[in-house]
Amino acid sequence: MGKTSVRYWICQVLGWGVFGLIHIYFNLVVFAEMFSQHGGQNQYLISLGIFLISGIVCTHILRTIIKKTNWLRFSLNKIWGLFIIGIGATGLLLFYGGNAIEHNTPYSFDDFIQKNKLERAKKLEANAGLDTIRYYSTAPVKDSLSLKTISDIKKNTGWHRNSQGVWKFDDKGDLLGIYQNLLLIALWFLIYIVYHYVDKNRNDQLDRLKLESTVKELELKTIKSHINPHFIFNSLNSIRALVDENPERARTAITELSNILRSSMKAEKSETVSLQKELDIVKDYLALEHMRFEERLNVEMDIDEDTLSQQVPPMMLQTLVENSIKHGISKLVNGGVVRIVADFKGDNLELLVQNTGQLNGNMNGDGFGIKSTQDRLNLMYQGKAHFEIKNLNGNMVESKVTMPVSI
Amino acid sequence: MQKAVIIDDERLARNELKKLLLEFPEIEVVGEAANANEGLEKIENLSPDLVFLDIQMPGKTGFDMLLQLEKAPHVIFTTAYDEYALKAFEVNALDYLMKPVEPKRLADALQKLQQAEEKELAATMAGINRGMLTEADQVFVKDGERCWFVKLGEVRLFESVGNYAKVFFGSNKPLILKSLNALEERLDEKVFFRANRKHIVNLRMIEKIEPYFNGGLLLELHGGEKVEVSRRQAVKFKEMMSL
Repeated sequence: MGKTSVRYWICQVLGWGVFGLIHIYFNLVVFAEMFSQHGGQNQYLISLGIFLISGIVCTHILRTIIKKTNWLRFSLNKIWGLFIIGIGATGLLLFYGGNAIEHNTPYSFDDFIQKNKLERAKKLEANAGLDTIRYYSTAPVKDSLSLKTISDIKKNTGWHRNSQGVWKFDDKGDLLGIYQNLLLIALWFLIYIVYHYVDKNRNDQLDRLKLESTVKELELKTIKSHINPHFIFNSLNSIRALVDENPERARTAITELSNILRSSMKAEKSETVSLQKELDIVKDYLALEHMRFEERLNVEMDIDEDTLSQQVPPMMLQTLVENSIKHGISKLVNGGVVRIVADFKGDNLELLVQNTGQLNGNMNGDGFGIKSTQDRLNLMYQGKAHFEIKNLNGNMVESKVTMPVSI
Repeated sequence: MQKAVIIDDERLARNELKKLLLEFPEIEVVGEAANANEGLEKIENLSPDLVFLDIQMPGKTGFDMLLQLEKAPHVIFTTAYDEYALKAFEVNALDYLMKPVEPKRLADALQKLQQAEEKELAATMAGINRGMLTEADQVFVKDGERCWFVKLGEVRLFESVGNYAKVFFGSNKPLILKSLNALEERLDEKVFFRANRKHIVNLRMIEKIEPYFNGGLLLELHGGEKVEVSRRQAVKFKEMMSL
């Protein structure tokens, strides 16, 4: 049994229990004289118990139906309609079901009260001295006093004699009973629905907050993963060495580094950039890495001219290239190749970054930017773009991004 | 004059450091290496007093390289930015420089080294250097994220654990990848005594000596460790101590 289920049953028992206590209070304390008769109290308590259990059963059936057909997904208007139908059906079920059970047991309190009232009616009749007269048949006694007594008896007890002299009970309680039951079920239903609406709203709000925070986190992560501080400081160190050795190269290196820093700052502002622009950054980046790794880094590019105008997420290709160096080339004593390919495959744009090296087992670390790349693509292309990273034959690793062609 | 070796996989980074070191005539750069394996070779052949060591290098990291050395030279780590390494430096108070290196920081690090050197001088002079490891020599040990340069004089006990040796010093006992026999060969026998098959103790760290079964001895060390001296070794031990 789940947590909600436990809570539901506690509420059920508590709710009906409180109702029962109020019922007992009014009947035992306020209408004390009604119970003065022998056995009245027991009869009453048992019949109340039967009613409470029927109430729980009926509302539980209602709840099962609400849950099975998931009413909470409906609009408020529909809920109102279902509300009325639900109350009607359950109220009637409770009334007739409860009564049927009661009348088939010796514990019906209604029957007990009716019997009491019949006795009272007979007593009143005798007191008025009417019991010896067959007033009900051909009505020989038509004086106003007798008529008033007869109607009083009927008013007080609900009992009267028909034309054959048989006592009849004029039952106005039925309608009242149905009315009360409907009210009770309506109250139950209202509490149930209000509780669930509040709960659902709160959960929705919580979900929304959670979603917002993940989006924020994602943004931060992608921005952070754009440029690795290790790279920046190493580049600055190389540039400082170049100032004496090759001042011209140092100057261009500073320009390249500025370009990368600038575009990484802009990346958070723009949704997409042209592949042309992205490749410019990648080239600057690779030029700087080449300055550091020298002959250990070889770069190959195979770019289809037509792909250059395609829109891509900013700094994504750059992140992949950076990873191929961080986890590939920089780990190899003799270095290797980084190969970048952009081409159309069917309706998709395909970007490949291949590098010398092999994936090792622990590639799920965030350092690889795998998860953030995947998340970014999901967010931007709603599942229409794919990212994968795998070992190619021999000793190459390939990262592949496939995304819909932008028109 | 102190001999220094620079180990960094980037030529430009090595050049830059060499240029900075020109300002310090007491340091002579005798060699450079572009990766850990070359570095090991250079350290063994040139036995430098000081090594400038990059952490992130292809193949093996700077830490891995140090673990392979029998006797660690003075090391100043150099790194551009490496959260993992920075944490290790700060926790273990290792000397490090951030690239690009600030000349002032370099001067400080070298001065610190000078002071440490002077302190050691006496100890090194005492043990005549015959390729033996003296008490002043240090080893680099690593235990998960923590790492230390440990002076052999601070080690109480070496315990054999398979191919590894457990090194007891202070409140730590990390493992090093060295057999007890290999250690015994290189350690100064005047200070480090092979008590039994599994233990080498530092004689200066003995707190109490008690007779034990079978003509053996039981040594209690400053750290509370108890080491049994086998009967055969007990004879040798008594001989040494009576001298």
